[in-house]
Formats: sequence, structure tokens, C-alpha cells
Amino acid sequence: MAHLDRRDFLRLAGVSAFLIAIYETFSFEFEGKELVRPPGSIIEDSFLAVCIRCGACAKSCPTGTLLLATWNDGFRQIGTPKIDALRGPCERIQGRCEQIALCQQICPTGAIQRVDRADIKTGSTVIDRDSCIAWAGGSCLVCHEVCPVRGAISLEDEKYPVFNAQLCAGCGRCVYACPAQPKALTLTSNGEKRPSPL
Amino acid sequence: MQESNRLAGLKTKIRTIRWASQITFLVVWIFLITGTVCTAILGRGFAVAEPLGVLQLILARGGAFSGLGVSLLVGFAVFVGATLLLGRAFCSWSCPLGTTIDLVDKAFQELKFKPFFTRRTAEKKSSLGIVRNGTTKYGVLVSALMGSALLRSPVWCSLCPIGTLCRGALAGAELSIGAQLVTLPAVGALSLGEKRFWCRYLCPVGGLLTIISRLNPFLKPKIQHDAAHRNCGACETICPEGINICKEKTFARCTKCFDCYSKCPFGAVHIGLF
Repeated sequence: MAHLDRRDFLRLAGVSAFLIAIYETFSFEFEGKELVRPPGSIIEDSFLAVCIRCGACAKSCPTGTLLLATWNDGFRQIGTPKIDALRGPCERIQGRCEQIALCQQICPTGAIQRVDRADIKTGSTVIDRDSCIAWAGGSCLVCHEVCPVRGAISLEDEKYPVFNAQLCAGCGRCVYACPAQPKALTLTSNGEKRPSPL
Repeated sequence: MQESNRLAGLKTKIRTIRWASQITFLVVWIFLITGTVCTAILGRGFAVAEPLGVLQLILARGGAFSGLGVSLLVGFAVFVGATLLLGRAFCSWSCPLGTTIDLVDKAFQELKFKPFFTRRTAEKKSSLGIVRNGTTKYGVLVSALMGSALLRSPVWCSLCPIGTLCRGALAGAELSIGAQLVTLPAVGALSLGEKRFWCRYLCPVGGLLTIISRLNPFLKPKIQHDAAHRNCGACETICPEGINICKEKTFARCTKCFDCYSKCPFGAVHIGLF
């Protein structure tokens, strides 16, 4: 059995205090935030148990929208993929992944399953009317122009964009394109539809 | 005579060959392959999967194999098979974290810095014995597996410095916003104590590979019992795992780095195929 003298005890205590200080500093959270997952991700509880955090999906993503979660997203989330619409849209609905979603094809664990394009709903977009150029009186219809889903963004008085959370597929195209500073649009996981594990 | 000359040439070149292998694998694991060491997809249904990750997934799902994906289980078998054939060769020839730690150790060596624990005299060597102990990494291994079963997610993957290194390199600028900035410098700082401190005492992946490689019969260092052998114990300080070749029985800890072969002051170590 290893011998632990007083000096060793003090050293260990010092190291432990240092580690605790680090975790406190970086606002360590276990569960963390609700992230927007790539299309075809299985329901969250199973997803966290099945995802091996290898990053293959993020590496294969052609638009670079898939990022790997860090400590800031919560301890359990570290290394899992999330959609960051500020870096690009998810092109499963329209664009390079229309034929086959590369993240679904590459995932080795079944955490992201092959799901039909029509069944994709990764979340929905929320608008902050205070930051929106159109709602402030300017002429901007960028989100309406780029939206690939008919009816997800409609125009009130042919001028003001209104979002339909039910129809929105959560691709993040509008968020990426939004010219307002700060962005008037945020992509959330509200209303996401996810398959159950095999 | 010619034969022994050629062998002598190889002896001095082994470290260079290993550096080449390590750097190549570092680039391949992080940048060239789809995925990382955790699971690297090499082709249709063929993969290499790091076994601790797979075991954690199986435990996190309550012991269920179904629906895990064939390539993952194939990758698990490939990694375990390679370990049965080559022992812990992964640790010293291919592991991206091992390479990084080796680079840190190399830097310390170039700066003429002598790690703390190698400075001490014999009776003081037990310092921090509670960590510097052959069994600590199995403790980390068991905690990782039990934690995964209890918390229903592969908890070690969140902490693992190998994964952090791969994912951090992948994320680029994103690295700066996570406390991942802390994990890698902390592991590097352990090398202030002893070379390859992390690999030797703490890494649970190394612990798992050690358990598997108890069944590996190949490439073990042997002592030539002739006049050259002095029982000096130099191999114990040379070896990154601290193996004394005269006393060791199973060589499960051996990472096949062959430092003992190239650095034995009396040239008394050779590597037996069986």
C-alpha cells in the first residue's frame, strides 16, 4: 500500500483545490443547454448514451455548421455535435445534402440515423422583432427569400416576416443569411422531431 | 559481422523511426481520417474504434449491443486484435496524446530540465505514491466504466485528453472558448514530475490496453544472460513505463517503444519475437 505522508497530503489537497477552482471558474454544469442536433439524431437521452464523441459528423459536414460541443455547453454534452447556424445552414432540406445526409451516413454508432428528408425537423427559428430590420420599418426580406420550406415564413402586409414554428424545419438558412446586427433570428431546438433508437 | 553492423544501425535509428510513425499518425488521426481515434472510419463498414469508448457506450446503454452500428463493433474488434498482436504499441507509436506528451518531454530535455521525481534519492521516491502507483489507472478505468453505467452517458469521453486533443484540433478557434484549454496543459504539466506521467499512472485507455495485452505473446524485451549483463537497473529509468526487465514477468505494461533495446548501456537487451 502506498505510503501517504503529511507533505503528500498537503500536495494532493493543493491539487484538488486547484482543480475545483478551475471547474468553478468555467461555470461547470453537468446537464447543460439544449442544443440543436444534426438531422436524424435520436431522442436526447439515448443520443447522449450512444454518441461516442468521435466528431466524424462534424468532419464530414460540407457547410461546417456542425460543431462539437465544449465545456460551455455542459459536461455531458462535450464532444457531441450541434448545429451552429451562425457558421452555416444545414443543407439537408435544400442544398448539398439533399441526396444523402453525410452525417447520417458516417455516424458509426447509430446516434444519427438515416431519416427521410421530408421528416426532418431539427428545431425552429425564433424572431426578435426589436432587432429585425423589416419590423423596424426597413426593407429586408432576406429570410423569406432563402427559406426552403413553403409557408414557414409568411409576410404580413407583404412586408413583415412571421414565423410558423410548426412548418419550420430548423435548417438555419434564414439565421445564417439574416443581415441584421445583432442577428434578429435564433435557431432553437423547440419543436424538434427525433427518431427513437433502433 | 555485417549482420551485427546492420542491427547496430537499426538500434540507433529506432527512435527516429518511432518519431516518424508518431507524427504521421498524429496527422492521420486528427486531420486525414473521418472521425478521430475514438472512432475512425476507414471505409464501408470498416473502422478502428478505441475500446474504452465502445465499452462505455455498451455500459451506458445498460449492456445492450443492438443498434450500435456494425462498423463500431468491427472497429472495436480491430483495435483489440491489434493489441493482442502488438501489445500496447498504440501508446508509443500512434497515440496522438502520447506523441504530444513525448514532444513536451523532448522540450524539457532540450531545456536541460530534469523532471522532479527523477531528481530524488531512492527513499524519497515514494513521494505522491498514492498517484504514482501502478494501480491508479485501473481506478480511473473502473470509475469511467461505472460512471458511464450510472450516468447513462460515456462520461470519460467528456474528460479524456486524447479526445480533447483530437476534437480541439478539429474545432480550431472554438477551442479557445472551452475549459479544454485547461485539460491539455494540465496533462503536459504532469510531465514536470516524470516523463510520460499521464500514460504511466493515469490513462485509463492505457490501463485497458494493459489488461488486453496480458494475452500478447510477441515482441518482448529479453536479457542476454552473458557477461554484458550487469543487473544495473538502468532499464527501469530508461523505460517510460518503469519496467525493470530482470524482474518483470508479463510485460503487459510494455509499450514496445524499444528504448531499452537501443539505450541499454551494456547492449544486453534484445527483442524476442516470441
